[in-house]
Amino acid sequence: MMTAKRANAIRESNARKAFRICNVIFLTLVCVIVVIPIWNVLITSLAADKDVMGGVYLLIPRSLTFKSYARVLNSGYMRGFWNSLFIAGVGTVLAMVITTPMGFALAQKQLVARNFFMKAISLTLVFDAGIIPLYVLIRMLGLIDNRWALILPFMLSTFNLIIVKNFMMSIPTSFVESAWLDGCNDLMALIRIVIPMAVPILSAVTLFYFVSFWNRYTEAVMFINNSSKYTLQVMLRALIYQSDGSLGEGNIVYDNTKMAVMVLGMLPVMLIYPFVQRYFVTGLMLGGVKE
Amino acid sequence: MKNSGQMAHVIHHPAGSLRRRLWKQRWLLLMVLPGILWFILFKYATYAGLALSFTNYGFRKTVSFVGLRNFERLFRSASFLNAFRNTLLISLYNIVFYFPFPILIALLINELRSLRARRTVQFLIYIPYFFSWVVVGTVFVNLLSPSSGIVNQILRSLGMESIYFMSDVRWFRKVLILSYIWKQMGYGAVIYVATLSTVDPQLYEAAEIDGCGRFRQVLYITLPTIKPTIITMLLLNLSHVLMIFDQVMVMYNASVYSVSDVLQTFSYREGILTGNLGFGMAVSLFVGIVSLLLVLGTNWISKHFLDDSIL
Amino acid sequence: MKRILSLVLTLSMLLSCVLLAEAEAPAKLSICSPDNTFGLSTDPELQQAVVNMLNEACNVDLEAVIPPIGSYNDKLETMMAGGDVPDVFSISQAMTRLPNYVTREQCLDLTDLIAKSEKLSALDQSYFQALAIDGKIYAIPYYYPRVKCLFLRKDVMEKYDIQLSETPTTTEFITEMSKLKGTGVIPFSFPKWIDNFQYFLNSFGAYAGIYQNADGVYVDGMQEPQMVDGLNYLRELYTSGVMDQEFITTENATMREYVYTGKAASDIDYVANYSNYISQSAAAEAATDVQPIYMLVGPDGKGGGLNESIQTAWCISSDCKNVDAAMRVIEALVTDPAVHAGFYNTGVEGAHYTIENGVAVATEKATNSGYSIKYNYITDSFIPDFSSLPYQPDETMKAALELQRSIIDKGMELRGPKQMIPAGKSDLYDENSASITNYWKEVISQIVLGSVTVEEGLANYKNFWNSVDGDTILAELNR
Repeated sequence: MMTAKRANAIRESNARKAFRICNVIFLTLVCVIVVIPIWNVLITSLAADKDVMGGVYLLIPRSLTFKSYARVLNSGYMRGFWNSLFIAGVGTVLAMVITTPMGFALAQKQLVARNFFMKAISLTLVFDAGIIPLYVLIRMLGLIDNRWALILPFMLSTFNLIIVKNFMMSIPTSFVESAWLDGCNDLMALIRIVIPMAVPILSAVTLFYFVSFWNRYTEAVMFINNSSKYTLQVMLRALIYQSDGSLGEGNIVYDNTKMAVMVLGMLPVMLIYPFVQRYFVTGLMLGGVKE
Repeated sequence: MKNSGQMAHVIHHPAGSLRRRLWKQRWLLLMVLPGILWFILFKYATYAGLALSFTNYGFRKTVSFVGLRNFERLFRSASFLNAFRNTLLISLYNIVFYFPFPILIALLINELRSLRARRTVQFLIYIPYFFSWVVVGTVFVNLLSPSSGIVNQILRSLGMESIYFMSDVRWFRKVLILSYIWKQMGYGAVIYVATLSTVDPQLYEAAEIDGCGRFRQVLYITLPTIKPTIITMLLLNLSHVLMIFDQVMVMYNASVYSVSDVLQTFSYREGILTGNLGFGMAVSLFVGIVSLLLVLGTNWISKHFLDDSIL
Repeated sequence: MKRILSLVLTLSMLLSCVLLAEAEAPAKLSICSPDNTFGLSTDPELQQAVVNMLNEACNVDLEAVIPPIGSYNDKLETMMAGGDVPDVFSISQAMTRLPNYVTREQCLDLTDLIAKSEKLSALDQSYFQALAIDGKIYAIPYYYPRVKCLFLRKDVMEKYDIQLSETPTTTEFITEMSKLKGTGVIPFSFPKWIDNFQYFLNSFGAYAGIYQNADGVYVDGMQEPQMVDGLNYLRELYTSGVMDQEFITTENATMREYVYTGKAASDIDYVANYSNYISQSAAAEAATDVQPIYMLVGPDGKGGGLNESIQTAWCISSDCKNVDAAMRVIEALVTDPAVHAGFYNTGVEGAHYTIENGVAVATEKATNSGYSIKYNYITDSFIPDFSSLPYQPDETMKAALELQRSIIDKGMELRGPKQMIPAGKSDLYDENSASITNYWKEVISQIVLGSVTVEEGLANYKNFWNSVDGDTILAELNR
């Protein structure tokens, strides 16, 4: 009896080991496939002009120079950077301040008119009138050529709101109820009990908002007139594509500079990722306290 | 008077109690308020624009009501029908091939023992999400170039012919799907990983003691926990698949219009770029209605399989 | 009493000062033009320096909107749809877009204003007439019609013994360029812009799109018999390996880069870009001269350079409040040497460049934002003489520009046809013109790449043509 159980456990652990090894191999493979193009971007951005002329796919560095980066950083990069940081920073904070409580409230089944709210909100998932009606609205609000035109219309995303709402629905109601018994109102219950438990999803959504503010391009061109208010994405793209004007007046922009532009465009967001990532798993510990 | 009394009797909520309920929920309502105002201003107000689909707005200086003419034109145009077919096909491929991928990855990441390995994998697959579509377009054109791209180098070293993926009608949709997976895989995985973190470790321990293997633990504990998230994500994906635009816009070219032109690119070229806004709005309205049907269908299904509907 | 009088006097003086200032206050205007103008630099401060120069030269107070060139049409369309049309705006692809803007009544009729303007009426009026609609002028171009030819690196020609004249035959072109097979040099680099194929179609008398034939009847070029020969030749260019196999993913900039660096032997470009090839190939350490091929002579002796006609031009919004001021700005941009050079190329002294010994040298700030000094405006614009400018090109550049001028003349002489279809004549055409253009581009690119045969492609086109009621369109245009 005893021995049979032990043998079972050993067989189990062998199968598990095999699975684990396969798993590691598979994930490594996925990572390699994902990383190869990124590696190419990085290596190309660090290459000298002569090594990237005429389209080559670099995976092994032939030269190492930061000239392309210097070129991009000296082209007024910081102005675009600050504009983007302001928009993405303020926008993300506002977005979270609105999304979190709303998601929480909509997750409460007793909420008055909850059904109506959800239906009205869900409708905005599928209907989109496009940029021109929004332009007209922004114009009526007097926000054309104002940085707030890139914040206000995007400080809520139905997508993210529903993700947050559904996560909050998975939190057992007993937690909120016990907070009520302790004399908390809904707001305090949200802040003290629910937010700490929802940290993983809230940090993920924060990141989604930040990236969406950071990478927004079309609206930034349409709503902003003065080029000194352009965001980083607009500025960087203008830098690359000016050379592409069909008339060919611009200088040639070699691949290394283009790639440096790509790296510098995403680097600021990438750098905040590790800070956010720490919170993706904190829910684990809280999960242990449950019930 | 009699009527309202009857009503109150039926639903057990006299007017006074509604007021009391509102007062009791004042905090909750306050939390919803800013968002509701935002939806009214920035979403519903812009929907007035959709009404332009019944006019010739933009096409001529004096706006006039044209009834269903824009829609008539839509359904007669071979390009529109082609775009609609492509949109549905690309959406279908996205759902079939892209959608399960982040779930699988998240589950596999969850099986990794070392926290550092988990974080590294998550970080690496998340990087492409930071790129905008323009960048992804450039990256894939380089990657798949027949002369210099690494994919064709590998094909050639295996003794195969190189393939011009970006201009090949048989390959282009596959390129769209693969690049979509490449860019969005990390995004989806993050949501599932976050949800997986809510699973109570004690449940696993209990299952272990009961002699449940890892696979069965996943089947009976993990999957049920993330099931609502899976359905939510499916629904959210469905609501947006028809709006695919940026990706196609930066990656397609004239030679693959027949397999890649989608509703939004069609409406951009023939509505916005020619100033024919009424026509563009007709496409938007059409997209909205079809998406609505898709979402309602899924929601109906989810209602039957889950206790609560997602929306 | 005295005090009151003096007070009244001072007050009235103050008032008249204010009134005078009011009268002389520069007119407020908005202007919109892509970021390859305003001094060719994307730096906002440098762009502002150019705006200030314009303000001073024309006594206006400009609010400049300078969208990235890649999003220019989107921005302009959005502004128009939103009822926010800038007072002065530049249009691109004027031959296609102007009729569209005019039917939508976005552009002011400038015919009388040009006649009144001393400077503009002194110019050759035929350039304005090229863009006239029903005899009225709505747009003012600022350079000669654009013509494209092929540019062939002379060093490659010598090395591989390529014998091509400036007007070779279509067969000669393929046989001679085939000598480059297996050398690693791309014989002929081509961009993804399908409209450039018209250069080769000209050799067969074919025209992609609706056009007015010699009898003055509108016909659809895709369904004319000579189109088959044109398409067969294009396909041969591709299968023979002469044309870059990856043209459909090649940007204009990449195509040029290939020729500058010697990776490709030839490409297709504006005749007025000749001097760029001299200067940029030197900058890429692969200096060479290039030979223009103005046209390929087809089997029936037909042929012509790619005529893109007037690409960009200035319009005034039909809602513009201060038309005189708007005309002042356009006048200066088109006819004033200093304003023209500064706006389209060199920018402002002190900001973009400094003058050292009569030669302009780019400032570091300008160089970083993608700026370099070009002298193409000297051969491009309607202004005959730029000798009044304080800086001049160096001797080599002067020689190249001299040559460029003769290349432009020759290109103009040998240019093929270009048609502007009047808008407002057929609603059906106005609605479907974009569709039709997109479809022939799709068919031609598929034929060249070999996804369909010529017959299949043209059959697909015919089906499409019927779905948009093409025959009715032609009938309405011919009415």
